[in-house]
Amino acid sequence: MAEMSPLHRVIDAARWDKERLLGRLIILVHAAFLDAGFVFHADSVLKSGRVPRRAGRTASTLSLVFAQDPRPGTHWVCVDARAAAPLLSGGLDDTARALTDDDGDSPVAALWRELTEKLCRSTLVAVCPGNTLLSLPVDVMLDILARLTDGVDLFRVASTCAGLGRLVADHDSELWKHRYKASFWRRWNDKSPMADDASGTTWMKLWCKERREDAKFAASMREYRRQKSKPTQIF
Amino acid sequence: MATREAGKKMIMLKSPDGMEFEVEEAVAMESQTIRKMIEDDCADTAILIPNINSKILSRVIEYCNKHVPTTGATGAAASDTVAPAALAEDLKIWDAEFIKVNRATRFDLIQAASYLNIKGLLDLTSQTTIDTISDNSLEEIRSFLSTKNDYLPEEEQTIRRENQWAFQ
Repeated sequence: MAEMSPLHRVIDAARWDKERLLGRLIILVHAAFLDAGFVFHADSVLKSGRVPRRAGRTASTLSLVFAQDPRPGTHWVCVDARAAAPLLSGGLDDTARALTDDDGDSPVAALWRELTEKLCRSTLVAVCPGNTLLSLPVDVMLDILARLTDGVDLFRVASTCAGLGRLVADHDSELWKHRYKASFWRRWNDKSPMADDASGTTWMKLWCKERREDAKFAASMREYRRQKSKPTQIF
Repeated sequence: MATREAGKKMIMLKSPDGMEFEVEEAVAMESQTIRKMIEDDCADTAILIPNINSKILSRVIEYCNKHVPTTGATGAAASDTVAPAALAEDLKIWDAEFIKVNRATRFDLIQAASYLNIKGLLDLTSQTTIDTISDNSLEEIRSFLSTKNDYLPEEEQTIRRENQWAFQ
């Protein structure tokens, strides 16, 4: 999926279904921390961000360790597990959709906001030394990234760290679609690949692919010209 | 001139670290956020500005002070003697000096400009950030944005291998 939900990033549907409710709550907290821009600690069992199988039958026993250099102060959010856990009784897809249900007053969305905004994000901002691009509000970051005129620069920014990579991926069509159309308009027609559906690709990937091919073509042209001893009309 | 001086309404801005800044209402209203508070009568004599420390707030006020005569109606009379083009040029030079700050301060200023909704300052700070990104290597961008490389070495290798065109 082009724009993966924070939950799908850490667990698949089969394992979600097997988890008990409290386990799901822990998984939700884990997803919220990663979504806020935290990364895995070097000593953490969570190398890839997915909940490891060896954590046991339920994730509620899982210890979550996230990396941050200076010692953080205490940040906490009070969640009534008995009230919150039943909210997670649905399947993975439904729950993932409910997380970002902006217009409805879904209690799952409220829980998610409570976790990401009050707990995770404020912790991240508080422990970050000095200010960084990632400590800015999302809309401000997006506004800055949208100002980049060259897609290569945007791509490099997305490659600097996982947090920015995810931010760019989460706003793929907003940041990349017009770039793709503008740069490769000759090749653009109704049959051109679309990233908006669930084809698994993104506008950024399509853009990169075209750039890669352009670079390859330019390299082969250089090589061709170098090898030809006599001048030849190529075009 | 004298009546204008007398008619100036002052407003107090307070930073969370306890400093108070007395500014002209017109200057404070460069911030759309504060303007709205004043227009909606939500503002008492003092407005607490959360999240923005006194060091940054004083820089923001400095910016608003400089920019208020050209955009606000109150300063129109005072700037009559100077041609608008020259004034704009002067402001540009002033802006360029103003934004010569370290990275952390610049990000603080972006955050403040965003919260207070001061378009000119947000444009200036954002554009400066963009200028530091353009045409630089991955490592340079990382340092400009103060981001840390948290990719695993093999992940980074894959990104670099697949996208050599972007990292030459």
